Amino acid sequence: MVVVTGIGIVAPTGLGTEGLLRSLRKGESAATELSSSGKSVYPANHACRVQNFNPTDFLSFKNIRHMTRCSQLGVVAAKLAVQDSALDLSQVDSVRIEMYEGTSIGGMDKIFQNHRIFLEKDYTELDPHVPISAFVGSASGEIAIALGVRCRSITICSGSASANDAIGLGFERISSRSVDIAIVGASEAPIIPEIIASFCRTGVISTRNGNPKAACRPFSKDRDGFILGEGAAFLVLESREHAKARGAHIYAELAGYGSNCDAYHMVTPHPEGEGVCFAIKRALAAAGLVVGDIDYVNAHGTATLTNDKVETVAFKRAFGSFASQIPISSTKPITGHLLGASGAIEAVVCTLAINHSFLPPTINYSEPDPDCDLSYVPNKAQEKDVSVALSCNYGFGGKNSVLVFRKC
Amino acid sequence: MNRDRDINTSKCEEIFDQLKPIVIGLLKIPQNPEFKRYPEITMQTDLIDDLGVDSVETVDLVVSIEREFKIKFDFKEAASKRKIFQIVEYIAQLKEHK
Repeated sequence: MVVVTGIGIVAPTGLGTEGLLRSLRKGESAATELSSSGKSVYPANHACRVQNFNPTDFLSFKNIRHMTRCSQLGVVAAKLAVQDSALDLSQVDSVRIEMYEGTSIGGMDKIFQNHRIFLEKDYTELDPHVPISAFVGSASGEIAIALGVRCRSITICSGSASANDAIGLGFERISSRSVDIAIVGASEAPIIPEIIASFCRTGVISTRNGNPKAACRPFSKDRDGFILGEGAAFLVLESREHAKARGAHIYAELAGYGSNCDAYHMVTPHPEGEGVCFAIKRALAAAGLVVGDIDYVNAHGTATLTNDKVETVAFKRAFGSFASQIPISSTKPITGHLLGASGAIEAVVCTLAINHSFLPPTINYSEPDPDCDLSYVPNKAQEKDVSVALSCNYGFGGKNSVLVFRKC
Repeated sequence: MNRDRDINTSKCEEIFDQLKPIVIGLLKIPQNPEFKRYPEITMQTDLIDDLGVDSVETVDLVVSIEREFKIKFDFKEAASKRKIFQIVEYIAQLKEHK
């Protein structure tokens, strides 16, 4: 059995779980305007940013100097998770602990920044560390150095499914008794002009400007896309025996993981939700659970026209006659869409729902859509005992990834 | 004697004032007073221990200093200087023998 014994978050809702819990309970979005003048060079003028984050509060200047924001957020969140777990890493058998980190765009901020310098100035002005610190796998290296994890440290890059896959891999390694501990999570820092602009070009970001907190409207008929978010979240996973032996606090059990690929289209999900349905079934089978056991589903819920419609189709297919009874919500309007790190923060959302007995809401839900006709916990959190929670995330390339959390 | 020492001290201070912005610029050290935990460059600052300067940056730093002070560093000699005051003294020495 795999259990969660540590949580570390650096999110738009603040550092630590308190801010996230408060925002979920109140149904309050962390979105703010990109430009305070209200005018933006992009069609979208909003994002969920991590405010007042000063990495030198946690790390020395010389250690953070070459890190991208993605790495800085990730290293701090991973350190907070280990601190929260009260694990003494110096006492852990170094071949029995691994680290899996997810990200979708990694250090693209540094790449774009240096590309601008290259075009405007001269190649001698380029940062020589670009190939070292900006490649997509740099954060897992930085986290391993910061924590001293020497057995394995791997970056998983499967788009918005990255976090779920990183967490899932840790789950599988502990389940197979290959290791006792896995530090798993994800980090993302996509609030950069080129990324915002290109997502605007694809038409997946909401252009409902003027009130950032009300922009993202999953499953509502008037939805027009998501708001980008940045941040990182990490979990310490342990085998139950290992956690019990050291008297660790256990937040929840990570009971199952299922993933697959639509192999259908790079952006559009399979119209009949075949892959998502299969990933859910796999995750439930790994957990030894059935559909009727599910108390809450944290959906991918990006608020794009296609995702929410197809995700609803997939849920109906996977949940059968239980579909209309299972509470489903998207918390992306509250935290923003953290791309590869979404699943990490949403894994924390699931553990909070289990630990605090409530259903996180889908805020900004205003108009029922005949294509999205399930129970979406509209606008207000609901008190409810949650024993089993699913977290679903899907990435570009048709990657579907589902985690199952269970009360311990 | 004392007069010579004063002249040397003042030369070193002059060199330090000229060197400091080069280090700050090259290593992109934020100078925002809000960031209280960012290191201040002093004579005692250690390039490796305090600033994390690596081999690539050492080359850049040497090239920038040579350009600024119109001197030629001996790379082997330069690589042994870790503290700012050691670099300042080395620059002073090279300038004197130019």
